[in-house]
Amino acid sequence: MPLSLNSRILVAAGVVLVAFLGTASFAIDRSFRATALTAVHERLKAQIFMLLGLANFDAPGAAPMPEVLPDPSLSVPDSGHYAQVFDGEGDLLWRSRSMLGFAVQPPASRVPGEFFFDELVSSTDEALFCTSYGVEWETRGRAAPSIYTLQACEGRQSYTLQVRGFQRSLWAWFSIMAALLLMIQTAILRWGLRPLRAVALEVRAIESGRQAAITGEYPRELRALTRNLNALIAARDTHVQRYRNALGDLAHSLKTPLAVLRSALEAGRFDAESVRGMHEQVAQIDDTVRYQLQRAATVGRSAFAPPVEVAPMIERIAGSLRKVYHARNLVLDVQVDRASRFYGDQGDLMEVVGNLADNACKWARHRVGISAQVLPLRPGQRRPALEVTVEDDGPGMPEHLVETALRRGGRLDESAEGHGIGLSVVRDVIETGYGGILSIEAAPSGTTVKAVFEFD
Amino acid sequence: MRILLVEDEPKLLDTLATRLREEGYAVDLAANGRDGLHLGSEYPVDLGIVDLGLPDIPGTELIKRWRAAGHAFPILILTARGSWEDKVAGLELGADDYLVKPFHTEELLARVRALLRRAAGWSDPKLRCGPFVLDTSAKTFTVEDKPVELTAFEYKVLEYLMLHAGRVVSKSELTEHLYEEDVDRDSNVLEVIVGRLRRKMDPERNLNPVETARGQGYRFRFERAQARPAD
Repeated sequence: MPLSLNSRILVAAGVVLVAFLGTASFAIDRSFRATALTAVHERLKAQIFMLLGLANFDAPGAAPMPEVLPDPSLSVPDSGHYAQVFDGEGDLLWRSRSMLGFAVQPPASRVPGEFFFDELVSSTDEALFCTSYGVEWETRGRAAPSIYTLQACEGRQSYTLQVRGFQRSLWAWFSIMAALLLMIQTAILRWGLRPLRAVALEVRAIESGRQAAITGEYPRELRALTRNLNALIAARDTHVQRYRNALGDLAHSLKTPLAVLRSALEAGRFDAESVRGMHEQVAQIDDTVRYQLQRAATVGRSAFAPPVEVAPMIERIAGSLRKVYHARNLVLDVQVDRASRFYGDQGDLMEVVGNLADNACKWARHRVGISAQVLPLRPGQRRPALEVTVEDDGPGMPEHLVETALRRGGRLDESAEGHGIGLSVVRDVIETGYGGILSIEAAPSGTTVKAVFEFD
Repeated sequence: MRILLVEDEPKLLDTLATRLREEGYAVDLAANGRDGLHLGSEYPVDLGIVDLGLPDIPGTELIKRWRAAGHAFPILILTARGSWEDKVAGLELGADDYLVKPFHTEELLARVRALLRRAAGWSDPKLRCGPFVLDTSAKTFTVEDKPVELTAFEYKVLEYLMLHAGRVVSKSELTEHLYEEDVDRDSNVLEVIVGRLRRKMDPERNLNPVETARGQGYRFRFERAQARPAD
């Protein structure tokens, strides 16, 4: 079973959320570390400037720094703040009192006038950030200035703690945000998918017969679906109704001829007169069965029917009729607009064209024409109507017979088999199945039958 | 003419067979598709009448297999399913005409006659060869517009010869197409019939409509008067 829509969207949203928060926290962490490191650097620089202000290198041999320093952390052992002074050769001249019992190596670069930042490790394995600054000091009485290097260090510990603290709060906030976002997402999802659940409920109600159609108001995206569902249900209902009507009519109209036949059989007289009567009844039964069954088999137009290409289908029927009427030497002229499409059941179209063309062949002298064309779209129409015209050059049906032909089960010519039934079936398919019109134009030079199918 | 009737409803099979035999056709019967397939392949059938709703091999399948095996005899479909979709499908498979059940036997006979004529290249129900006219609908024969009485068997022989007018028809071909398989065949009977036909058709003995092609068979000498271009 495929994943539910809910799970799909939640999983996708979750993955996006985790990826986004992960990248964001990485970037924020990096930039926080950079900022914290810059702050350490600035602090160490400030300390060097302070020490520079206090330094006195004029008295050789004496300590270059006063006994008491303004920053007390430099005087407390292991405070994490340390300072040293080296001479031009890199020999230690002074170290702060906080550096009790350990040493830090001199800076690798001692260029005067330049700050040099480094990460070092003390002799007691304490990780340190160190900044050093070289100065040229001119002492009275000496020709060349002396070079001194001041170094200020800070234990890495406080930086590490700061970063860790920041990370902790970052993750806490991000977790809260993620949870919140997922909750909001779920709520949006439930709200967004609510119409779908409502449709499902309605469909279930239709299934169980509590409802005849989908009645709720739905968002635009679902309206096409609900409209089609309703059309499908309506089509099914029409179909069932048609079956029911046909069966009812069938039963009803079979009973009379059957009763006549039975009483004739019971009477036991089989003279020419009564046999002819029985033949009539049998013919009527045959007509009734044929007409009603065909009526029931009519599928009718439908919103979902894939369009049937009309041209090849009419060609098939014409081919069959050419075979059947081979001996009559008829010309079957087929002219079908290639764009013609039939939005309904292929069997219905075949029934109509087959019957009309077959009738035309029966009546024609030399030529039968079958043509089909798409009618122009009328305003508000989605699918264009289709007009099928079948004409023959036969004697032409008399006006009152045209009427009979269009009446249900009317028979025109007993020898031309099923003529009346054929036309009645055609009329029924067109009118009840497709809401269209069947029209007959009879002239002494021939008969023209037009069938117009509507698909909306 | 030899007709193969394949129909699984025994009553209909029986009635149709009787009626077809009354009309002078030699009729082979099959009550299922398997027998039908066999008979259609083994015997020189002139026309097949096939019910589409057979119990074992569907009629459409039967037609397809016959056609695939190269049997070209005309086929008339009988079907209870009268929809055009079914009719067209049957005709496209290789059948030549269809008849929807229930049908009038006369209608069936008319279609049978038409199909047989058509297979031999005739379109008009009246076969005209010179002064001879055989009306296949009314089953009458005239010479120069004067009616000539024929017995049923004489009619059958003449019909076969005239349908294939201009072509030599061997005695064995005649027997195969005019007799059912279980009928005793005696070629002497044929000679007698042809002799009688000649006397009836040509009492003055100046037209000689039926030639004897020595050692080969008979030929109706007069070409069809109103033949259609080849089908």
